[in-house]
Amino acid sequence: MALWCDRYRPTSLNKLDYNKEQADYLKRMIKSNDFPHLLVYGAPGSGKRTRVQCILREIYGPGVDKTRIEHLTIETPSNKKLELNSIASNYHIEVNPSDIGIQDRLVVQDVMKNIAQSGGLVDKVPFKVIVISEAHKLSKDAQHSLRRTMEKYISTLRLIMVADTSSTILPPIKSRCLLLRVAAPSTDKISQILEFVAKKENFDISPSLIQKIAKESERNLRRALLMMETMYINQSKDIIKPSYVLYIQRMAKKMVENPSLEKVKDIREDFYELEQHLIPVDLIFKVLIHSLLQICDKHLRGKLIQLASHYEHQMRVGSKRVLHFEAFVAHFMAAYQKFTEDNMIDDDDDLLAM
Amino acid sequence: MEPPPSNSRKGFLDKFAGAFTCHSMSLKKDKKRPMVDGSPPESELCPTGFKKIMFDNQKGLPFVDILKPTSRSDLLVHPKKISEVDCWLTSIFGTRSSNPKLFLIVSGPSGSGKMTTLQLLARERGIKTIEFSEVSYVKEIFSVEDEKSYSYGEHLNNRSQSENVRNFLIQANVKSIVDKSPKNKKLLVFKDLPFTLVKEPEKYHKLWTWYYEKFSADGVPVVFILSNDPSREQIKIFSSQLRSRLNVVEIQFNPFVKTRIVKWLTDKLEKKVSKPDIEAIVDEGKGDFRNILNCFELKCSSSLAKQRSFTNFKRGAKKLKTDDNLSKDPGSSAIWGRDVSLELYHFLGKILFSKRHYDKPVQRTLPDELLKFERHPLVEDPFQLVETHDISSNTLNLFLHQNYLNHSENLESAANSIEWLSQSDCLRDDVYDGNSPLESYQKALSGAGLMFNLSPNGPVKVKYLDTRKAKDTHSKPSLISSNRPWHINQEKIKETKSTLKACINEKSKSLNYQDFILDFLPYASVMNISMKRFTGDLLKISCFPNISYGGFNKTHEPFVMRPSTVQLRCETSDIPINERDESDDEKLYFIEDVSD
Repeated sequence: MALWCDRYRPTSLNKLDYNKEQADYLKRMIKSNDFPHLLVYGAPGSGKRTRVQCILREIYGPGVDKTRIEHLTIETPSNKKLELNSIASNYHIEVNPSDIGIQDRLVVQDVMKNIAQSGGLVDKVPFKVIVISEAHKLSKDAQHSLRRTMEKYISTLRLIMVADTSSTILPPIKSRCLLLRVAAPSTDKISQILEFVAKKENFDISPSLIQKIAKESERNLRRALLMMETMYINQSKDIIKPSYVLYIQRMAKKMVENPSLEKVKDIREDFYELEQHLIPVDLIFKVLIHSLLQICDKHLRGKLIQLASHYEHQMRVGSKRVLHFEAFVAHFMAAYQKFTEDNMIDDDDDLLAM
Repeated sequence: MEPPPSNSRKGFLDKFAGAFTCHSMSLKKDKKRPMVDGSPPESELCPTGFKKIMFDNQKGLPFVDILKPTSRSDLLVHPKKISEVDCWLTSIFGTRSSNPKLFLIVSGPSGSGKMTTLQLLARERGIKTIEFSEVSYVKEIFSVEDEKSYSYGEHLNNRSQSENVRNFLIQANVKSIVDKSPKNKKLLVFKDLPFTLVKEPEKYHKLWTWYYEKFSADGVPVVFILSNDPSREQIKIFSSQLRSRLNVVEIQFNPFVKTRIVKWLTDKLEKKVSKPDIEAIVDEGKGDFRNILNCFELKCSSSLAKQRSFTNFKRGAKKLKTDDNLSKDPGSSAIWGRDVSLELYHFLGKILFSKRHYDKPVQRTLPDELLKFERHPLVEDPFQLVETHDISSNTLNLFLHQNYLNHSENLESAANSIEWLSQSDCLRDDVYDGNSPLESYQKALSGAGLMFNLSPNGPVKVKYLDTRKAKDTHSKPSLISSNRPWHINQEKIKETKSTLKACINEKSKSLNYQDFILDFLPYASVMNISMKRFTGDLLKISCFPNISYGGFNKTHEPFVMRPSTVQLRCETSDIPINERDESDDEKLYFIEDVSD
């Protein structure tokens, strides 16, 4: 029993629902046998992977769908062994180097060298494909080492990098790739797809509810489909938000309900909890600020954004995330406390004046 | 206990015997030993019980040696572990099979009785234990035996360490100069691992293989005693394949159970020390028996207690004399802790409490708008202070981060303090280079930043913030807490990651973990469906404490099934759609679209 988002995933470039021009373009490009390295980027849930799978299928035929899991072991110079999962078919291999952390350079080099040595299996396509998922998390080291190998093995190897954003990819890499921006589907498009799935699954759902789901999904098609499926299974009318969002929203509430030192400590525990559930820290920041913006007074909003941007940057530069996050929390709470106290005095003054 | 050597002219054998009986003591105590030479304590008409302990102690014997178990029944180690060691000894000193277990690894935390057990059992069988150590090997065996070979010893010093180990193994097996005892009455013990082993394990792996092949029939068995972090070091001594090939035996010792130690000590000390005191010390020792005994020695020696009263621990000393309950006072417990941590906490305290000369007036040197930054002069210069302790900036930051909240005056001072920690953390990204010149700069930043900001208007009373960690009752609130929570967090993150990695199976189509966590898991956990892809462990990742999904109002029925065109088939029999109800949720349905 597959999830809806898997079951109704388009399998060829013809069947893609949106960004059709791009799909046509890709198709023509593959036909012309002039296939460059690709960098596919776009927001989560916009169908990057689906598109990549379609491209692969277009190149190699249905053989790419027969995948197997391979466990790669890579030895570091200091004799430490790193283990890594990869998904491979006869024609391509997919790796996620950022999974290893700072040693991702080795993965990139090792895997590429191995693959490059054996050419393509199909006569008309002389190359194999490496799909690098979560490419935006690649370290600078890894990207630099990619640069050379991309040119060296161009005859036997093509890279398809899948990234959430292209801003963390180094310019030299970008200039060696064809950039494909997969725009997230519009809310209307999501509604259409949801309707289509509902029809296929044979149930009726009110257009207003579909609209609501599409809006809540933040143009993330995968989330929209999962949301609808969950609601369908639970026969619920309410939008179900992911648990971590609820958790972070509760954190935001805690921050503004009479701030104190205990609260800072309490929020530190919450932050640890979120980290232990592998929620990325930038997302924590994002959701937290969204919910804080809704709660707090408009005079504080500028300060909030300023603090958040400052500490989010610090966090990316530094090594211990909790320090920077807590600095943000403490600063905001101090500012909030001061603000409310000042306002109370103002109110008193107003009363006296009257 | 082996009697100390009684003749003044020390032969080789005696020297060795001396070397390994006092393995557990500090060097200082070691030097005192010769004073009791010639008068073994056993032969004296000495008092019994607690008095005897004190009597022996006054002669310079440490508690650790006095209370050393002399028989199996006296050994506190778990009987199962004893029998495991015993079994190995039997197998190796009996008739050997073709595939003998020549190597043994005994691991466990320090002070869990590894060496003691081994020595006791070996002595029962009349087997000598010979300990390898770089210094004793080179200097004692060669240089003292005859003066001529001193140059040889020096020559040895220059050799690579693996050569030394190799030589040691050969010497022990050849009709040796080390001692005259026959080959089958000896046991080689490696307590300090040769440090080059860490660097080039392959060399040693070859060495072990060579030794095993050459001496498997009648060689002297080798024991490795490992005290810290067993899993890591074992890998280095033997690779996993090698371990199975060479038939290496492993025995893991656990720290002592508190109740057993308390009982044993109460018996030994004959209620001269009050029970709460014993418990307090045993608690502090955390299962390290050697540490516990040393603490007792410290406590019992009155001279030390007097000394301590001169220093700052006045409260602690008073408690000592009156034999009050120690555990109530968090400050005194530090006395029984290890020296290293004491020093560290002292250092941290200087930063967190940052004393100022409040009696001296504030020098009005700053312009009016900056007046809020004016403070009384500090007692210690922060930049000199951070240089005094050799702690890495990373660790320092973590410790300070764990503590600054309890010491800060209000939210604002807390925010200003953590700001500095944050600054210091992002000063550099090459965390792995310990020699970076920025290291001390980082330390200075966080140290000085905290000293300036924590208590702007005078001393701050330490607050014990109520945390959720209150569940474990073992940890009493202390003035300065350790950086453990951060490390626990890191471990847990790793754990979750490995769970996630393990779940990648043939069915998964993507390696994008982030999407998986952010989109799939939160919804899959609410769907109430069983899928092979989502195991229980995995679903736990998206579960948060105190967050529940509310609002499943089943009355609304927003999803209306289309009638007629769909046949809903249960696995066993066809059911019309109208009869479907919630109780059938468990069963598997196949939805077939007939309309197309």
